[in-house]
Amino acid sequence: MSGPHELRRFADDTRPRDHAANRVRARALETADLRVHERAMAALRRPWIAAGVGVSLAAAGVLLTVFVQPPEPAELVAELNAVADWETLTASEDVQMHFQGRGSLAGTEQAPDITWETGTVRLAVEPERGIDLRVRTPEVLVRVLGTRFAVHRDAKGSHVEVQRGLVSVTCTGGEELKLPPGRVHTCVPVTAAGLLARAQALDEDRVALDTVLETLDAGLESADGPVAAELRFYRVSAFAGRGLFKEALAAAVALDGPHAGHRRAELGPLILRLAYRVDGCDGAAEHRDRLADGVVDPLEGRCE
Amino acid sequence: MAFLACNSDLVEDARLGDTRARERLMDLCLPTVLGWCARLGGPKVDAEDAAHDVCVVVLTKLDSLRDGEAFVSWLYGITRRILAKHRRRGWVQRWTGAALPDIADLDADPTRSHDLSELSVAVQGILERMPGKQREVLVLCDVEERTDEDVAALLGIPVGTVKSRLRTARGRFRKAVRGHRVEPQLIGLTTWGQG
Repeated sequence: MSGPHELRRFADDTRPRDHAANRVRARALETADLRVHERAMAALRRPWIAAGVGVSLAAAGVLLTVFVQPPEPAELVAELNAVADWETLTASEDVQMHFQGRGSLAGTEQAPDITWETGTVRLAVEPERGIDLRVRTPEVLVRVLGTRFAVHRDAKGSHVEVQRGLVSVTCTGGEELKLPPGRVHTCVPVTAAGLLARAQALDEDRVALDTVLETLDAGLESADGPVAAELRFYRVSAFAGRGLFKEALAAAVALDGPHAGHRRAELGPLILRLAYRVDGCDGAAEHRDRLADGVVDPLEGRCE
Repeated sequence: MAFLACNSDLVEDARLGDTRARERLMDLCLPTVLGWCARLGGPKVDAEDAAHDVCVVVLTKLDSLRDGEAFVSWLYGITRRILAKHRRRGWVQRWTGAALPDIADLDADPTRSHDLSELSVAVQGILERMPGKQREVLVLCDVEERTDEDVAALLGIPVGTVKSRLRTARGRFRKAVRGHRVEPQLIGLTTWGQG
């Protein structure tokens, strides 16, 4: 090092942390995808391009009608991707889809099979036409014979809402349920990572702390490795985010050890900050030995 | 440039739209970009927000990059422009009274990931008062420990210019440290080695 120790200390204090990089990475990829999509949509909105696309589609339609004999029943293959606005797709004369989000369509006109990843898909199925439509998400399988319903998927799980007719809903690992009109049923995530995302979403919505903690506990039942460490670490954040620093400190102290996994290095400074918040410098002094070698003491200069 | 281990093939693959290469490139760049944003942005810039904006520009404009070898300089140029934008925004917020986070405020949220020690806050204050070109070479050479040659390539200036800016910056920094009101044990005056 060619500079003095104050610059070395500044370098240590501002060294990028893994979780900060992960946060930025996730946000940036999402924003970049959105920008690319918006750019593509903006190009399509230009009238001459839209006209060109329209003419091409019409020509393709005529060619298909004249030269191609469609198989019976016609197979369906489509990527469903509507990030900015709602889009409508007529899968067949009996099935209308209105969606905002991402998924894919497969199967046949008689048995459309939708795999839904995120967002909302609303479906209108002509009754008594023998349409066997299915919508799958990792949490739920929805089957219907002639009705109007919607499936919405977000971090909290998959939500099925019936507007007309009767829908069969089977949550992953659960039993089949008949859902009448006006009812909404939610299937919660089944994976540990999904439950972590649900807990975070509930926490952001300021749902009761007990519900958040129960969700984290449910995730821990099947989690191991980094996800388990994240679930345990999130418990500390959930307490601290509600100003329950004493409870957050207890959770952080309980986590300190092999269970902390990749979060271990940052746990020491966090415990010191929480202890300082709870009992001032005296409280923090009890936990000084938790700092790993080489980790900067966040209270240096404040508690001597 | 050794400090960013991205080879030109990776940049080329990412430029041509290979999703995996794009994400790998981002993984390699992000720590460097976050470091630049935290060290050069100053107290009024949120390093994560600035790094996010840099990454979005990189991901959406990568196809405009022609020479894979120039990627790191291109990346630094983007970071510099984004930081200037964020600094301007911080300046405007200062005058419009918008809330700004106090990086040294331990009482705000104990779970925050980036808390600077008082010493680092003092260093940040000194860097903030330096002219931008001197701050830049001091951070790149003495905080990030890059060679004069690497920094010259990054900034697109001759090595001699880097050396003279660095000499001036070190002198200014040393003088500022001596005049700083923080206790001597916090700002320990040590000497620069031959770097």
